[in-house]
Order: sequence, then structure tokens, then C-alpha cells
Amino acid sequence: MGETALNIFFAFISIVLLLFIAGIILFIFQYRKRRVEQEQERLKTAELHQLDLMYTQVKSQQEAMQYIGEEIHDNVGQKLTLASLYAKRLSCGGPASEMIEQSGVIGRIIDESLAELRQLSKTLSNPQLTSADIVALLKEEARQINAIAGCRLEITSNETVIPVTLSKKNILFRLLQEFIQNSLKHSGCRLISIRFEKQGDALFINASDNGKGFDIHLSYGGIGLQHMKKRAAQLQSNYTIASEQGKGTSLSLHLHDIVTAS
Amino acid sequence: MKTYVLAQYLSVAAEGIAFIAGMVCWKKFRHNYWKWFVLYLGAISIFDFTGIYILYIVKDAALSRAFYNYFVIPFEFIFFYWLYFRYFKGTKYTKWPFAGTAIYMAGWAVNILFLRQLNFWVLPFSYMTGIIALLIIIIVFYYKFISGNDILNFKTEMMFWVSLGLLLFYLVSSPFYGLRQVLYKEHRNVFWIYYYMQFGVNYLMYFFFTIALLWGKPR
Repeated sequence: MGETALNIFFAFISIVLLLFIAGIILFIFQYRKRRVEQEQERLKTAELHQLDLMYTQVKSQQEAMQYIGEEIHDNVGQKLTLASLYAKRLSCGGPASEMIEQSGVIGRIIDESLAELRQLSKTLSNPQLTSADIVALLKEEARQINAIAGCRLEITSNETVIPVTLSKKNILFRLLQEFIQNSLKHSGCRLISIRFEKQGDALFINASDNGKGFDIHLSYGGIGLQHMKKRAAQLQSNYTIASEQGKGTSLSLHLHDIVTAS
Repeated sequence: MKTYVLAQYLSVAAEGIAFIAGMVCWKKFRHNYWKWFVLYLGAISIFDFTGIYILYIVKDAALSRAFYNYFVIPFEFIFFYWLYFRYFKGTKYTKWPFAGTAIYMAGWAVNILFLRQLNFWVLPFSYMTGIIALLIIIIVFYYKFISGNDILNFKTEMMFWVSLGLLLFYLVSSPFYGLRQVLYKEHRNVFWIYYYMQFGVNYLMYFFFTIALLWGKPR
């Protein structure tokens, strides 16, 4: 019994030691494997991010070109055509008082066209767009608007920084910029407020103005609303715009996932 | 003082050091289930000291044996099954600590009611069932651990160090506890070598517990 017990004892110890050594080897092997996998994942994510960045840049450029083209055609082009017509009429002669009045109108139209062109050139270059987060970008926009008396832009958020992927952030920023521009241009409002509410990966945005509003069922032929709708679709978000004459305009957006690139 | 008595006192000291390490870092555990692990270390050092006191000061070996067999050892096993249960909570592995507790309790009852090895320092049958159940849970833990991304942060994973300590101690000491009586009667020299060796792994286990408490980040 004694010898057998001792043999069992040593056999047991040997098995235990072998198991332990095998466990350590397995652990080291798995650890190294995971490290390699993690490094590969990191490289892949960086590559995807780079691609996302490039894609967004190209898309933003295309959108900007399209926007500029449409703005030049719809806005500046129309105004300059009008100015040209007035200038032609001016060359035909007429009473001095009428000519002075017409040259004043021409000057005003050219000034407005210049302002529109300046606004367009501003949208061409915005280096901040890639670095700052959406709330910071809009706060900067608000600072510029609020510096000019007339209308106040308020940005509120339940979180200081809202991490939105670059592609979605650009589209979202352009969409909200469009809403702000429309409110400033057409509504005659005194206040525009935009509220961000982040809940997990989802984001709720509510933008409203206290301007004169418009009849949502009537087509105004402007490209602003179409742009906004198109951008909301790109964001795969639930988009609602509501307006009533005399009661202002409101826009609500529900983005389901702001952390996954579109 | 005899060497084997000193080895026992050193074991209590190792437990006490781990407990102090836990108390030093108490802030990071106070809102987490790991605070019970710190308190467990405090309790176990008191229990072991009490066991030594009963054995060498009161000189009542039977009482000391009963104290370990009926209270300290079941307390240790059940605590660790519970710790793994808390760790696995919310995953598909929760059934393992439950099964371990049931197996150990059954083994303990069989040992007390049928085998009646009450003069043994540890009840071999129940102790072995306890160890086997615990080792299976530890293997399940390591399987889960190496399968996921947790392995990349093993240094700060408290359960990694606790499991390593337990694995070392119970793997090395299980043959000793299983054949303790035979070794003592028939191979005294082997018995003493292994006796001190299992104390060595005991200190190592509490050293790993101390690392877990100092380096670990409770999750």
C-alpha cells in the first residue's frame, strides 16, 4: 500500500506540473495571438477611418461645388441679371431722378450679390469642420451670428461633447447651417434655438425659430428645404419639419447611431 | 518555536499582509463586490490565528480539527464559489459556481455522515471534492479569460491573479491533502518536504492575492 500510494502521489504531482506548464504555454500563446489580432484590428480601424475621411472630403467638395453652382445660378445669377437689366435701361436715358433711383437699386443689388458671394466663399473653406465637434462648431456659428444684432442663435446640449463620426458630423453641420441660413434669410426671426440630446448612441436634435413661418404644403421652389431633406436621408435619420404661418418653423431629427460611419 | 509552527504563523502573516494591502486600497473596492474579498482575507487571518491558538495555546487538537473541518474550510470554499459567481454574473458561466457549491456540500455531507474521517486534519473526501469543483471553475474562468480580449489587460484583472494563486495552491497541495495520512504514517520524510512545499505555495497564493489587490482594477 505504501509504495503504491507513493507512486500514485508522484504520478499525481507529475500530471499536475505538466498541466500547469501546459496552461502557461497556452496562456502565452493566446496572449500573443490576441496582441497580433488587436494590432491588426487597430490598423484596420485606422485604415477605415482614413477612408471615411477621404470619402467625406470628396463628398463635401462635391456638395460644396453643387451648392455653389446652385447658389450662383439661383441667387447671385438672378440678382446680377436684374442689375444688368437695370443698367441697360439706364443707358436708354430718362429723367434724372429715375436714373439716380435706378443706379441706387443697381448698387444695392450688386452689394447683395457681393454679400452672397462672400457667404459662398466662406462655405468653401472651413478647416474647423474636421477637428471640432458638432456642438463646438455650431457654438462658433452662433458666436458669429450673435455678434451681428438682429437675431440670436442658442445652442444647448445635454453633453458638452457629442462624438459623431466625421462623415455624419459634416452632413449634420451642413443641414443645420442650411436651417439657420433659411431662418435668417426668410423668417425674420429674433431667436433660433438648437437643442442636442444624446441618449446612448442615438442623438435627438430640435431646431426652431420664432419667425413668420410658412405654409409647409406650398412649394417655394427653393433648394434649401430639398437640401435639408436630402442630407437627413444621408444621415439615415428621422426628419420632420413643421411650420405654420406666424408661428415659426421647427425641425426635428433623430439619428439612431452617431458612432458608426455612414 | 518549531519550524512547522513558524510556517503556520508565517501563513497568518501572509494573509494579514494581503488584508492590509486590501485595506490600503479600500477606496477602489468599497462600491464593488471585491470589498468582500478584502474582508474575507481579514476573517481568514483571524480564523487561522484562532486555529493556531486553540492548537498550541489551549492544546485542544480535536477542537482545532473540528473548527477547520466544520467551519473554516467550508467557509473558504463557499466564499470562493460565491466570488466566481459574482464574477460570472450576467454571463452563461454562472451555473458553474452553483454546481461547484452543490458538489462540495454533497461531498462534505458524505464525509461527515458516511466516511466519518473526523480524526483527520482535513476531511480528505470533502476537501478533494471542494478542490476539484474549484479547479473546474478556475479552468472555466481561464477558458473565458483567454477566449476574449480580457487577456490583453491581465495585469489589472483581479480575478486573473486570484485564480493564479488558487490554481497554484490547490494544484500543488491537492496530492498532499489527498494522501496526507498515508504519507505521514509511511513516508514521513516525503511528508515533511511536501508539508513545507504546500506552505510555500500558500505564501505564493497570498502574494498573488496582494498583487491582485494592489494592481487590480475591480470591474
